[in-house]
Amino acid sequence: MKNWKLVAFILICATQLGVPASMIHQQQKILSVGKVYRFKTAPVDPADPFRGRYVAVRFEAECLDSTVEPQRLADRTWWYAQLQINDDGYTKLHSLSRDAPPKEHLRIKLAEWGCENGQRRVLLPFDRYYMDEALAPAAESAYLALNRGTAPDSANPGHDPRRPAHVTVRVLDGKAALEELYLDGKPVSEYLRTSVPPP
Amino acid sequence: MNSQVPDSAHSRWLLEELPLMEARGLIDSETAKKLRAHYASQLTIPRRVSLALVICGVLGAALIGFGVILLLAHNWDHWSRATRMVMSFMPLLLTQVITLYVLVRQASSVAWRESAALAHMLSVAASIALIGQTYHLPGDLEAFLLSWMLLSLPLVYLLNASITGAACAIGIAAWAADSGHQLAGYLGLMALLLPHLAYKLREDRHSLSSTILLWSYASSLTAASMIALDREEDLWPLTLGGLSAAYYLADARWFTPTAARMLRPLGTLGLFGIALISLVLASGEWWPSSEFRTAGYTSLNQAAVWLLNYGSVIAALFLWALACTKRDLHTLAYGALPLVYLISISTGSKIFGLVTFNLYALALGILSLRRGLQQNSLSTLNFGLLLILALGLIRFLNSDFPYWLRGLAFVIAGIGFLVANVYLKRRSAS
Repeated sequence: MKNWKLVAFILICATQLGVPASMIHQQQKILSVGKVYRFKTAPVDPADPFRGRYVAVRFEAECLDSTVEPQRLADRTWWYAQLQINDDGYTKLHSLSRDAPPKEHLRIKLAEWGCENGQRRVLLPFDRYYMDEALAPAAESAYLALNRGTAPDSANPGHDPRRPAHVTVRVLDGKAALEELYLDGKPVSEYLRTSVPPP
Repeated sequence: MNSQVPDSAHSRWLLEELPLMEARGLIDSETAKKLRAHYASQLTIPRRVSLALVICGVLGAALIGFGVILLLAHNWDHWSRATRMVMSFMPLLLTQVITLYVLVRQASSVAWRESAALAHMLSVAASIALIGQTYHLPGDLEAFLLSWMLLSLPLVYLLNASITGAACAIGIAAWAADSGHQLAGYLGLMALLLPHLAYKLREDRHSLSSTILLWSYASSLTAASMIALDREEDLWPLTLGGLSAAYYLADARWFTPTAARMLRPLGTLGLFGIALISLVLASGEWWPSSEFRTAGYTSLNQAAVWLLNYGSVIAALFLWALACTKRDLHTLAYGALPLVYLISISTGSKIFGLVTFNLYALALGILSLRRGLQQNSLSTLNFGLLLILALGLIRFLNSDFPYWLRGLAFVIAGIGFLVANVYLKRRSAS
């Protein structure tokens, strides 16, 4: 094998290994030192499809008041939204801007379509939670039931039955890493172990 | 393809030179006959053997690659994140080792190179996808495709792998479609693949590698042109017509006319594109506006859109001018689609345009019919007949003729079709 081919091979392999390695490094850094935010999942549209081995999650924080126009797919660029933690401990977004603000912020993109209430819709950098494909169907059922209010809640009869799930997300310098999906206050794997009867 | 037998391009050249050598008395007829028998057999047998090996190797690599992806994507929950990270790298590391082995030990084997390159390309995708799954990254198809293509492109040159090159061309087009029409990026990425195509064409433009590359590159470019039309829909006859004509004329100029249709991707895409566009315009159903909008092409992306929309027309007109020197009426007629379109819209009258294209489509059909009869080619004859029949079908569907008359016309057309085929077959037999 000629020398230049060997050099080229080494460079190519280094780049191919480097890209996934940098993805891991970035995510690990966010998970290690990023600030934790809780995002409440949005009520589930019964038409939302389940996409297989992950749970597709939607969030209330996707919709916010803004005068910014929706962006066509061809023109989509990065925007920044400021993060604010409400009294209930959940996070919402506000104040869209083109440049990163000095306060805690999240890097997002704008969707072409708006929310049902006329608010602007943003695309959050986390929209799915991967799971073992054997557990994913049960997780999906539980997630849907909790968000629609059809899951049994013997501890609080008469209460609003909807108990939306939430996720914890680590944010660092505008970038996010999804940490855990919680159903009824418990990590999803623990919820499935304790609340869902075995087949 | 195989180092033990003469290169197919050289063999083909010698076969083409033999009649000339014989005519000049350089070799006698007996020697010419022996040479012809020897090189003709060398031309066919090695290709079949190598082709089977390449297909088996590539299929095997693809199946193993997909199988590994599915196995690892099972998402075994009991593995820690660290374990999953390591497993994400395993397919990539394995295929890198295989690539090194091929470069050192099997560099002359097409089957090994093609298989290793394809498996390597799939493992890159697997690595990125598995890490995305481990960290619950959103489904950003655009970023995934771009990373995958950029990391796979070098393999085309490192391993001289055409199937990987073809896959990259398709992947780049998919990225352009998903990325919000980043056509400047599309052209830039395809430009990186062009040297490989040029090398293969220079080596042997009729080889299997060249054929596969041309099919994928031409299809990719057609897809990109359709993406470019998203904002200028009325330009579709000019853009796609120009592209089809450019393909057809390029094939007529640089490729052997006697090769099978599947081995002439440009000619095949061009011919069917021209016929389809002519019929659609003849029907009048999707007649575009005659106004050419030049919507503020200022950014790089908009310049790329301009290039894709108009570049093919310019190329077609240039190739048509070159074809005029050969005076082949059939080729000139098919290749004249962009010109015919410009003439048809010049007056601004839709009626004039429809009449022009109906006559044009009819002329194409008749010319193909004539060529089929002249060359004893059933496929060309039938193509011409189908074109005329399709035109008739469009006209009858659009008209108010009673059903019995339409039925009678179709019966007569069908009989004519069968008679022409029988006549040609008998003529070939005699």
